[in-house]
Amino acid sequence: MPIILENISYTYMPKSHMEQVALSNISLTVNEGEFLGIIGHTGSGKSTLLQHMNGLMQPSSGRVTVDGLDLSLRKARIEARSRVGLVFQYPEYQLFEETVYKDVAFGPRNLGVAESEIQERVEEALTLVGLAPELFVEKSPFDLSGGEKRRAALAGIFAMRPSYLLLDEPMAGLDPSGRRAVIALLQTLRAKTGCAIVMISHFMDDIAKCADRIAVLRKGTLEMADTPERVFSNPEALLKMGLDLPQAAKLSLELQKRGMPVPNGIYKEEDIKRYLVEALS
Amino acid sequence: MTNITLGQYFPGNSSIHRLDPRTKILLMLLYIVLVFLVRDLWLFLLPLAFVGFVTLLAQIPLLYVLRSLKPLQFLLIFMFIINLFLTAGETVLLTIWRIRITKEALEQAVFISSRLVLLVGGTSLMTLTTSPISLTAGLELLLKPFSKLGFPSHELAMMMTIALRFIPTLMEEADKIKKAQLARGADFESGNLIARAKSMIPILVPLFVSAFRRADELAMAMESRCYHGGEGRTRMNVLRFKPADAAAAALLCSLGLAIVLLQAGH
Repeated sequence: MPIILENISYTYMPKSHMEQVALSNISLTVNEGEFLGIIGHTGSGKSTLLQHMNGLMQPSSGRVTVDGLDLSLRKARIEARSRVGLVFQYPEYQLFEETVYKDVAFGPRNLGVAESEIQERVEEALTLVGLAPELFVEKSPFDLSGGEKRRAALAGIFAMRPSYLLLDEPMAGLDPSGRRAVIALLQTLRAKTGCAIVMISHFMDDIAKCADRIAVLRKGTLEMADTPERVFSNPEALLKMGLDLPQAAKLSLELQKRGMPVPNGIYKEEDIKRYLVEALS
Repeated sequence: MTNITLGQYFPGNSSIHRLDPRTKILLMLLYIVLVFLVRDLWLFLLPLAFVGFVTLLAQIPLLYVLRSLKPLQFLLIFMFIINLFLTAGETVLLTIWRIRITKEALEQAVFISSRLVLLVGGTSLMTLTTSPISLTAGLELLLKPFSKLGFPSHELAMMMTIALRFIPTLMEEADKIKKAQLARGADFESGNLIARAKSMIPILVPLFVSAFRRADELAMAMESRCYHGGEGRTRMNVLRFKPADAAAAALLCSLGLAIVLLQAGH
């Protein structure tokens, strides 16, 4: 069963002079196992939307259900948080325990997982993010490097074994190799557990690489929610919203302009590479 | 947690807003002395009229001034009741079971409450009409003479300014961390007092870590802009006393004189 947002709207500080509409009338479904990318200009409501999906924020109007649980009820929200994991921007700033082990175990422990299983989950999550358990479990999270801290924080969410994983710009502030590592990590996680992933990102190439579907937000409204082919086939609209195209889509557009018969709908690096190799040989 | 306004500054550009912050601080002190000078209940009408006059000039809705009394309500009720029941007196007005309420006690209770209301209401006018930044600037200049005796007036003002600047930032940060921990299944609402205090650790540790990090970064940024304390430092907005400051001081002084004279005549 999916996460369903029905006509949700959200207003910050209603009925005051600072009133601001953050989301207006958004309907969106996150299907089981899919990878949904969310893109939009800064301030378009992406993070607000994400926080509605696990009940951290309540819509001013409209309804959110997770696997049929109505998030307007407190009990349902608590239950939903065990199914929907949310990774905030710069998750390394939420680390607080004395050891990496304890920090990763914080989530599962809150969910009431048995102690023997916690150990198994922590080791599994740490291995998944590439921090060898035997080296890291006893370390203080504050002694890790920046990249390791982020991975430890991600492991803290993975250990909760969510069926939906929400990520708010998980690659912000990482260098290219760190970015690639996070993407690879998400793909491994998905292959292993089959969980759905919703990811906000400003990096169009990363979105192009992973997403099955892309939701485009603009000033609190949902402009599009469609396959990457369709979203990236309308470059003018994206550029107008202050967004960008993936490098591969840019390249194929430029080649088309110069008279090369590149087919429409190419947005992935490997596709344009394959086409060029074929066309040039 | 996000919609806490800092202090209670009510932005505006009235003649009261434009007064020198030093004048306002000094006159507030004088006003406090003045309220304590009053011995007769009816003489409270003078400071009351003054507060009304200033509120009118400052173009602040009366509601805002009254709102400053809100945190005081329990203290006010408590003081009123204590004074009503525990003051010795002769003229009995009312007897409920074994408790006697006397005229003197009632007068005393009304007197103390009026004094408290006037003190808080009047002084809140200063914070309502002065922004925290100009308040610290005024405080710095007022304390400057003491720096000859080794009192760190500039450093104190700088610390206050920085603290004020970072309160909203840290509030926002605390909110963010709280949400992140809620998403990890943290529970801040159930359990007894000890369990709840313990549940704050996942918020407080990251918050302190980030506050220290910010302090470090700020110190570095200040040093890279050659900050070296108050010596030889000039201000962008130089404070100068204007005729209006003299007028305000004269008004309050004559009010004080009136109170002293009227009571002396009694």
